Amino acid sequence: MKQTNLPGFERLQFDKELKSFDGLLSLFLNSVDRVKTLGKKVVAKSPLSPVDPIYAAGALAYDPYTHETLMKSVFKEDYNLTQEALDAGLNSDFNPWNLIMLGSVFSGKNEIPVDIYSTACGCWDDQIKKCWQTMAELGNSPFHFWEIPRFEELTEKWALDFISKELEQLFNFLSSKTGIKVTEEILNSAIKQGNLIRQDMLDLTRLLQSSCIPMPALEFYIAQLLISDYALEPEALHSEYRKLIEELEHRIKQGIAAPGITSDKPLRIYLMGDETQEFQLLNVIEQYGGALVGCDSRLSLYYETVKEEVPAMGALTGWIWNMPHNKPTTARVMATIPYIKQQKPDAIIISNVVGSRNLPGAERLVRDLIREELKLPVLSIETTLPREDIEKIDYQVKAFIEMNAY
Amino acid sequence: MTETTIDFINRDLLESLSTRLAQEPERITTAKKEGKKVIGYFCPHLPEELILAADMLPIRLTFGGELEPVAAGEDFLKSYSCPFARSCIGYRKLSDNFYYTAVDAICVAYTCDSMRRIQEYWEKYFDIPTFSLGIPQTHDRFRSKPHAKEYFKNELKLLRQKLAEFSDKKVTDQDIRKSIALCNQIREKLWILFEYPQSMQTPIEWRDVLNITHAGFLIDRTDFIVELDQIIKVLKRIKTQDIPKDTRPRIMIGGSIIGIGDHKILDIINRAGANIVADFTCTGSMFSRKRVSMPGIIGSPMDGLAERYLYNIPCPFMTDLPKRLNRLVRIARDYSVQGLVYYNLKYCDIWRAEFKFMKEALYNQLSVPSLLIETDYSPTDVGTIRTKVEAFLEMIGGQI
Repeated sequence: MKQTNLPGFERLQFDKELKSFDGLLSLFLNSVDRVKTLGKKVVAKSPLSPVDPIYAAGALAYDPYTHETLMKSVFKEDYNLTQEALDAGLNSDFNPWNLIMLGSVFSGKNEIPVDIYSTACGCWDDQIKKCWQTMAELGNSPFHFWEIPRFEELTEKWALDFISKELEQLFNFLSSKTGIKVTEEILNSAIKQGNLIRQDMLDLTRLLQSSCIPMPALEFYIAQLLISDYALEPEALHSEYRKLIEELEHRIKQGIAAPGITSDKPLRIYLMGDETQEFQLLNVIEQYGGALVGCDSRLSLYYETVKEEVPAMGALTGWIWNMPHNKPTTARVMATIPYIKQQKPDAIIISNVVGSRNLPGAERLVRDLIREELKLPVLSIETTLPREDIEKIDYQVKAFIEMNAY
Repeated sequence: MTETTIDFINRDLLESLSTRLAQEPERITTAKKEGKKVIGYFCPHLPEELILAADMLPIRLTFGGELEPVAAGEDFLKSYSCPFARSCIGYRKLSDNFYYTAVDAICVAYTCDSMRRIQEYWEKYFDIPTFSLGIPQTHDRFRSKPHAKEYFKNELKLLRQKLAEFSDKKVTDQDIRKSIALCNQIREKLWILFEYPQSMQTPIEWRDVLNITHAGFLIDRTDFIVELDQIIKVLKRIKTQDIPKDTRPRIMIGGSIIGIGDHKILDIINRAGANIVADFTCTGSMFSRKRVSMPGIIGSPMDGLAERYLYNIPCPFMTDLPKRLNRLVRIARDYSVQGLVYYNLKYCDIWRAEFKFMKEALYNQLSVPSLLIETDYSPTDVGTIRTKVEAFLEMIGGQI
């Protein structure tokens, strides 16, 4: 693979036989060129901010949080950008994903030039909101926040009304920049396009339910992260996901498990919580006899498809309000549990990123709820930048799998 | 048992308030025995008018500055989370602060990540009813999002309904009007006190006004008004021209929450020879700023509450940075501030991310410099902070 030239790839073990994954990764690595070719406006948005409104306005959705961190920190192992973030006013104890993102943008070293900043914010992550505010203040690009109010069933009527009006203002803002007026028909079409990708991820996740797990942990984890970075272009991403699904379905038919899975009866692990930059964790899980059967770092973007048979605005509004990450912890965990159960895990690993206040703040609650509801063993890990915590993680994961393996 | 009293500076002036405060636990205990319910809350975005209207006792739970509750809170929140939030959980877990154990329920405004966690942990592990309030985070001073106010009004109505159910009392508009009038009186009287330190010849220091405000979070609100009247009466009798001019450097303190008992940074500043004259914190003057507009006979008091609690100076969990900057500069100008000490509790991201902008705004518009102090409740960094503060005061030309 050409991409193995990047230093971050050297210590990661990929499934070299999974050819279709190369296509997916190349799509990501070559997205700078694709954006230039497409000539569309690029809208920067936060990872769990839905993309359909951006598609509808004829723009490309770009997730600098995921894209810049993967490229700079994980693949290129360039951590100097955190200093740039400090110069922009952040503190070193912020979530390193935010530091890399803001450092990239503030220093003008972001891979993809941004035309517009627009992100959803709500009751899930203060740092995202503050980083976007900082980028808006320091940059010269147009900026628009839109908001998703807290989830509580009793508030549904006015919460949906609020989101609907927020979306209307967002469409007006985006239209003024792209020149494309968002109509019901256009929005419906954008939702259909988004649903193709959501369905791909649902299908991909479903394949991990198999007793013969066809996809390695690392590849699944990356494939899931990429769903939030649609600068790749939705049609192309859908096409690459389909190729991957077909190859994996073929493996299942042939009874071929992912080559990295070393045990005949691996400990089936579901990964929850913050997205880690320590990708070697995924290799370590398999190395000690585990296998990844699911992950919820981007679950909110594909937990279900948006209804197509009803008016588009109403369907999108309801879907957004119900996104799992928009819910209070208990409701979020209870909403996520059916998805976890489907994957038939034997154990759970909760990932915490040091510096993140959102999911780590709720980690104790999540751990206890998972134990109560699923009666499964839980391991909680903490990571920061790549390489910094791998020795500790290695011991923790090894011991956890040894203790809980069949 | 942790310290639940307040260390007033002018003990003669505030003797009555101090005595009254010391009696509060006993009074609350008696009131509870008589069937009165006590409701705790944390953020100033939560209208205590609704608690009062439901005939319950509001207590703003903002103790801070102690290590034991922080350590106890680490059973729930990570060590890299806000120490105030850890305290809010830790006090309840330790059960040695009267006010945290006295509450029958808590109300939590959905402001920052930490506040939301406090609600979740209290609900799950302390088995106490919790009522939450959603607040729009992205509205602005130009009222470009009218639906934000409408949303907030509906949230307030829901909270009103829940509190009414909890207290088993019908809450009428008239009840709310009365509680608004009560709270407006408190705000107006506190504001009178906060204005004194604008002068170099003030009969009351800002720190005591802060202490008085803190006392008002705990004691019965009607009694608090009596105490405020008495304090103001005494102050008005003092001839300010007879007071020697205070020539110490005039400092504004701004940033993260300054809890009851959290006086590390305040002591350091004072002992370094400076005079804190103004603040930009949610337990200080921001709490008493802006009264609730009372609507006419046919108007709903909920409109007034929504307006005041949504459009008061926003905490940085909201996105309206320019409004905060304008207010900051105005306070600095009104109080002839010579320097800002920006108190940032470690891991309080929402304030931390704005320091750069606040520093630049003050310097560019008023040539007022700023000093960032990032700390927690541990005494280990007192020496370092003292050195920084002393150097800062020297830089702005004050005496040490």
